[in-house]
Amino acid sequence: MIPVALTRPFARRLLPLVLFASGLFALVVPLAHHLDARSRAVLAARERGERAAHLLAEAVRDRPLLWRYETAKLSGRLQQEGLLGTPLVLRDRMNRPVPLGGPSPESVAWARVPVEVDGIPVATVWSGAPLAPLRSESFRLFIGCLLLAAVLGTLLFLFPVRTVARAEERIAALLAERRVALQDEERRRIARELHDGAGQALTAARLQLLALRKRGLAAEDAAQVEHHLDEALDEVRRSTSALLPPPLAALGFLGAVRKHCASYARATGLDISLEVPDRLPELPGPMAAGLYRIVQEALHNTVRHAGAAHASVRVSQLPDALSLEFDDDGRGFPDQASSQSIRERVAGLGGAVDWPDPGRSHLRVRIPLGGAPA
Amino acid sequence: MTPLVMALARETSAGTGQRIRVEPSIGSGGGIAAARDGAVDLGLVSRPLRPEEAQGLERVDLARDAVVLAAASDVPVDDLSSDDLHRLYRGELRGITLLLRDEAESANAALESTHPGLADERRHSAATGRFRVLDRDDAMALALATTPRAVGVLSLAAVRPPLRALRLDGHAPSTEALARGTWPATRTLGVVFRPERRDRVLPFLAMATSERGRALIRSLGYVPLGAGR
Repeated sequence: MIPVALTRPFARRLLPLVLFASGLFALVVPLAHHLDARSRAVLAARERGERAAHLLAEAVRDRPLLWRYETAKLSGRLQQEGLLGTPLVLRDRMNRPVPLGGPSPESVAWARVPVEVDGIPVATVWSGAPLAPLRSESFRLFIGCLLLAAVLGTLLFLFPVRTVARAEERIAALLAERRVALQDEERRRIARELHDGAGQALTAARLQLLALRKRGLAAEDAAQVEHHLDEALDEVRRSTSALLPPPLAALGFLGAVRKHCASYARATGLDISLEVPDRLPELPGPMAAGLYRIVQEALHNTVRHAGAAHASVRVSQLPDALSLEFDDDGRGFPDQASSQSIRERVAGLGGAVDWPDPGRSHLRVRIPLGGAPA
Repeated sequence: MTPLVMALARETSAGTGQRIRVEPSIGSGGGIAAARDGAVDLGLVSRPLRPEEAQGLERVDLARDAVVLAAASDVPVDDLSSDDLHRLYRGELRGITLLLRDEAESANAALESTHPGLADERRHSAATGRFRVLDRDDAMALALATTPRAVGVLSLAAVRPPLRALRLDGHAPSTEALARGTWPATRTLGVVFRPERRDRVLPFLAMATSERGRALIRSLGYVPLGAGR
């Protein structure tokens, strides 16, 4: 799988924005509610103050000089009208307080209402709106908004990040597919070059050598040169065969593997035992191509490096994965480079390779069916 | 009490030429506070002074007043038993509308002192909001005259046709019964003043305690008490 780094940078940029938006929501909603409730409470206090002022104006009109000494009766009337349940302060024209009773909480928003008789101000009523209940209500709303902001923030963060993560996986799969296609194209081009260039030249050299032997070249020398030329030609043929794209589209994965093993056994004399199931689910193109190349690579290494006479290839389907097991009776693959290609292909398919003894050719490959690139 | 003081003031002014202005009653507590502040020369009181109220003031009692249950002519009873009175205050006496006096009114205390438990029943009824509450004799008299089948607490001196005073446990309220001491619900009406204003109020007090003043008090439906205490 080709790594595509999108999700982490996106998450790093998104997280501060989501935290800021969530915090803003958790603060602004209770604050706006508090200001609105406070405004309405002050309006209600003003309305109560106006009703009290109306009653007080009647008392002042009845007793212009002594109204401020009638506090017991004034309080009774105000109590009867339900106006002493909240803070109410009365001051006469000289700004002297006139006790009315009623609560006097610590935190109050006041509304000032003048008491007028025939248009002349005679006193002032201060009607209070207690703020403690508003603060308590706003705090409860803040806690609620904080919880809601946490939930919304989590959703706002997770949904885009998961979407980007899925897009990242899709892009990686497309890139892997594209890489396989590019590799196949490049191999096709190299094979064509080998066939048209080195292959033709070697064939011409061999024919020329035959002609020379007929004209008297020492047969022993000519045979040795011919042997080398044959080896070179076989190598070119094998290489061009390995480089050509697998016939997967026409034969499917199992058909292509069967055909390759048969033709490779004929070409090299290697005894190959192939064990495959009758059918497999349809494999994604990159996975089929990758597995096919792994079989090719393993057989090629066996012929080229292991000096084996017998090789076995076993393909089996597990509940959630495809298993490929390869072994031969040779001396193994001598260098890291020969095994590195297989390891990279397995990693590119999102699978794992088990190669318990690097001195032997025995390897087990496991490719997840669900996790393979589509 | 205001009509009594206005009559005495008019009589004083006629005799001395002194101009006296009488403000409508503001309740005993208000009268005491106004006299102490010097806002008035005389404060009118209709209840005993609490110790803290009495400090720095002198009091002169002028008359005794009978507190009665008054009713208009459409009320179908003339006599109430104590049990009826309690039921009336609890709102259980059907066909009669009870008009209450303000909590601060001394008339309440005068009647309720003779009927234990009545004060709590009045406060409970007032708290329900189902009863109309009035704070002065003139307002109560007007409400009784204009409210169908209404009964309320009133000064005997304020009972004028079409109102009448109801008998209570068989006792008929009257000035004579008040003078004899056989009517239990009474209150003492007086004035308070700062000692340094004695000279200013002396003509009024002299007239109120004179025989002429006592006759005037009696003619208004009160029982005169005479010299100050």
